[in-house]
Amino acid sequence: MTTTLRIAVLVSTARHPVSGQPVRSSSDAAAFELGCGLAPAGRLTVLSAGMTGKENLEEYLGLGVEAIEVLTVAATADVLPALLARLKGFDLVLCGMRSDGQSASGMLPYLLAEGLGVPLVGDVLEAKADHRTLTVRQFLPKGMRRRLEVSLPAVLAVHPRAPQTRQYAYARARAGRVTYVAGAIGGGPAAPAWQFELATRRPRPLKAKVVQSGHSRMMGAIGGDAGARGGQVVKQGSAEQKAQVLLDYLREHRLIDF
Amino acid sequence: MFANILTISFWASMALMLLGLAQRARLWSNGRAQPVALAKLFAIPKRYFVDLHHVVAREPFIARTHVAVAGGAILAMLVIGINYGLALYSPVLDRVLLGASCLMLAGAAMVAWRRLAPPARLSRGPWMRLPFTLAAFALGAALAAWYAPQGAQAPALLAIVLLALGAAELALGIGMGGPMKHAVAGLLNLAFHPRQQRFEGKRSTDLRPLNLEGGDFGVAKPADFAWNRLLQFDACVQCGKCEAACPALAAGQPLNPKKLIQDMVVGLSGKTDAGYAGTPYPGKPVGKHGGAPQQPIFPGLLDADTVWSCTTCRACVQECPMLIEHVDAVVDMRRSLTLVDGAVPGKGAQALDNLRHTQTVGGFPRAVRYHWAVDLDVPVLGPGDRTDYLLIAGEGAFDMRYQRALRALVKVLKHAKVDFAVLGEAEIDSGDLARRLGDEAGFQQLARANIATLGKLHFKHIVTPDPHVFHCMKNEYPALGGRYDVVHHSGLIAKLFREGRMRLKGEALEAPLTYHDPCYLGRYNGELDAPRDVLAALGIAVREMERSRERGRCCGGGGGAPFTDIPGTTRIPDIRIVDARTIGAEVVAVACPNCTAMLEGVVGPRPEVMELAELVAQRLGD
Repeated sequence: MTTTLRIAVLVSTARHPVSGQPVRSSSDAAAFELGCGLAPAGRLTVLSAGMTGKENLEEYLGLGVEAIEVLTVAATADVLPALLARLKGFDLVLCGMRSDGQSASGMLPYLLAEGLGVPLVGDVLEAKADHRTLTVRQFLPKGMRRRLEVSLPAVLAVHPRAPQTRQYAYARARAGRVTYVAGAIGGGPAAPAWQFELATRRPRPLKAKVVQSGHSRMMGAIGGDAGARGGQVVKQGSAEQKAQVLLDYLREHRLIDF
Repeated sequence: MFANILTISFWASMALMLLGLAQRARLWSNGRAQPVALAKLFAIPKRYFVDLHHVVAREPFIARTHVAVAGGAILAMLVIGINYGLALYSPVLDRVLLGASCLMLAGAAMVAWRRLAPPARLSRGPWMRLPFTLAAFALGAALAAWYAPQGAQAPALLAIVLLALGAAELALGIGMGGPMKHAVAGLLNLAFHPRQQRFEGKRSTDLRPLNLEGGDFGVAKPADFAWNRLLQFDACVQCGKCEAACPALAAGQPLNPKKLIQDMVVGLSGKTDAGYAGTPYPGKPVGKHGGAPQQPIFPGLLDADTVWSCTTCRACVQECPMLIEHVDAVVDMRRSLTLVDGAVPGKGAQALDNLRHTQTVGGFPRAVRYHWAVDLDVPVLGPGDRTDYLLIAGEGAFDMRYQRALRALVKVLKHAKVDFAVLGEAEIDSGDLARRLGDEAGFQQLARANIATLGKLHFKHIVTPDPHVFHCMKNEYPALGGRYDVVHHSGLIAKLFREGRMRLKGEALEAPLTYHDPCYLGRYNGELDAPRDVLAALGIAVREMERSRERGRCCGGGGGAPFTDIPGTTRIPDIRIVDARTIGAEVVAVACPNCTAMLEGVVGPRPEVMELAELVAQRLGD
C-alpha cells in the first residue's frame, strides 16, 4: 500500500561547525529517516546534486542509504533544473529545510514545489501515509505543533528536530553505492547573482538591569533578612500555617483560582 | 570376573567420553577457523600446574579441595586404566588405587561441605549433585581396590554401581554438557587459549584488531567466534568469581559475566537458558532467551544492554580460574552492534560521531586542547625539534577539573627539569573510547593518524596521565605499526623521586589517604607500585581499600560506560566511594582522568579526590 509510493529523498553535504569536515546535514538525515517510515530504505530514491565525492556522502550511506544517485552539476551552476528534470513522476519529495554549510538559502524546497507544480509542507516532523494522503505533523515555535493532511504528490521539507534515531554504521557506509549521472542544465548560472559574506553568528548575552550577585538577587526575590521586599521567609508556625501562606501567595498572583 | 567387568567398564567409559568429546568438538568447529597448534597440548601440564594454579591458589581451601578431588580422580583413573584397562590386575597398583580413592573421597567431602551452604556466586542445579557423584566414584574405586585382590564377589555389585554412577558423571559430562565438561574443555583451553602470551608471563590485554578490509565486523552470531573461543566458553566452572568481582553486577546493571559465558554456551549448543542455575542478570528473568550457532545473538540470546553494561575493567578476567576472556567476547559483540547495526545506546553514538568529525570525544576544536597551558610556557613539539618526553594530555585536557591536575603535572616536570613538550593542535584522540565502544574502524583511523603524526617527530618517550591513552598507545598501537616507549606519569614521577630530582617542602599530608587503582593502569598494565612509591616519597602512608591493586574496583568510567549509561540500581562510583569511606579515608588519590571525573561526581559527604600530580605539586620546594 504505502510501499507503492515513489519517494525521493534529497541529501546534501554539510560542514562540521567545529572541524569543517564533511558531515551529514541534520535535516537531510531526518528527511531520510522520515522516508524510511513511509517505505523500506531500499525503495527510496536518494538523490544529491552537485559535484560531491563518495567520501562526502559516506555519512548518509552509514545511516542505511543503500545507493545515492549524484546528479553532477558544475559547482557554480544552479542545481534546480537538474533536480526538476529528475524528480518528474515522484509522488513524494523529501528534503531538509535548508542545506548546512552551503548556500543555505532555504529556497530550494519552495522552488522545487513551484517547478513541479505540487504543494509544499515545511518544517515537517512526522508523516504517515494513507493511500495517497499524508498526515503530517508540523513544527511550530514555542513547542506548538500542527497536524495537516496533504494529498500527493507533494514536497515535504523536514525540520532538523524531526526524530533521528538512525546511527552511522561503518559496514553500511562501506557497502553503500554512489552513482553519478550528468544532471540537466538550464536557466542562468545562479552563483554570480549571489553576494557572499561570512556568517557571523554571535549570541548577544542578555544584560541584567541591576548587576548583582546571584545570591543577592535570590535574597531580593524571597525577601531575605534585609526586609520583606519581594516576599517573606516562613520559618515559624505549623505546617498548615505555612501552607496557608503559600496558598495566599498563589491566590494573590492568580496562579490558582480556588 | 569382577576384574574383567572393571576392564570392560573402563573401556566403555573411555569410548563414551571420546564420543562426547567428538560431539562437543563438532559444536566448537562451527566457530571461525583458527590455526590448531597440536604441539601446545604438551604445554598443558605446565600451564595447569603453574599458570592456572596461581589463580586458583588465591582461594586456598578450594585449591586444596581441587587438588584432592582432581588429583585423586586422575590418579585413580590412571591406575584403573593401567591395572584394569590393560588387564594387569596387580595387587600393588590396587593399593595405590585405594590411596587415590581415599584422597578423592576426602576431596569430595570438602566439596560437599562447601555445597552445604554455597555462597551466592556459585551455581546450583546440576552442580549440587557433584559431591555425590564424585563420592560415588571414589567409594566405588576404593571398594574395587579393597575387594578385587581378595576376589570377593558380594560387595562387587555395589562397587560397580557406585563406579558406574561416578564414571557416568565424568564420561558423559563432556557430551551431555554436564558440570564435568569443564575438565576436558578446561584442559584443552589451556592448550588452545586465544591469548597464548598469557602463559609467557605477559599480561596480554590488548584487543584483537579486525580485518575491516576483509569484512570482519565482529561477532553477530555464536559461530562468528573463533572455535577456540567457543571451546573456552565450555571451560567455565560457574564458580562465580567473575560475578563477585563485576562492578556492573554490583551496581544492578543487567550484566553478570558468568551468565554471559553460560549464554554463549547456550548459543553454541543451540539451547535455551532455562537450565541456568546461578545469579541471573539483574532485572532479567531466566529462561526467556535461547540461541543457536547460526542465529543472531541479539535479541534472541542476549539483550544488547547486557554487553553495553561492561566497563571492560577486566576484573572478571583477573579472577577467572579457567582463564576465560570475558572482555574480548563483550567487545567482539559490541563491534558487530556498532559497525554493522549502528546501535550504540545513550550518548555513545554522539561520542563516536564526534570522534569521526572532530577527532575529540567531546566535539571540541583541537586548537583549544592546550588552553590550560597558555601561561605555563609549555613547548609544542614541531617537526625537527627534539625532546625526551612527549606529553600527551588526552581528552582530560578539555575537562576543567582535570586541567588542574595537568597544570600540577607540568609544574612537577618543570621542577625536576624534565625535557618535555606537547603535541598542541596536532594531538587527536587515541581511539581508546572508539575501540571499547566497538567502533574498530574509528579506532584504526585515529590510531593510524596518530602514528603518522608521531612518526614525523623526534622524542624518546611518551608520558601521559591518562591510563587509557597509556594502554592504547603502549599495547594496541604496535599491532598497527606504532611502537613507542610509553610511561604513565606516575611511573615518571616515581623515577624522578628515585633519581633525587624532586625537592619537597612542608609536612606530609595528615589526613588518611587511600589510593584508587585505575583498571587500565593496574590490571591492564601491572603498574601498581609506582603510584604508591610516589605517595611514599611524599611521606604518606596509604590505607589500602579492601579491593585494591590488581583486584581494585572499577570507577565505572571505562569501556565507554559513562556514554552508554545503562541504568542500574546504584552507580559504580558510589560503590567505590563507599569502599573508601569504609576504611575512613579522607582523601582518595587517583591517577586517571576518568576516575577523577567519576569519583568526584559522587554526591554527598565523600573523601576529597586528589590527582597524584596535585599531591606532589602542593609539596614542591624551591
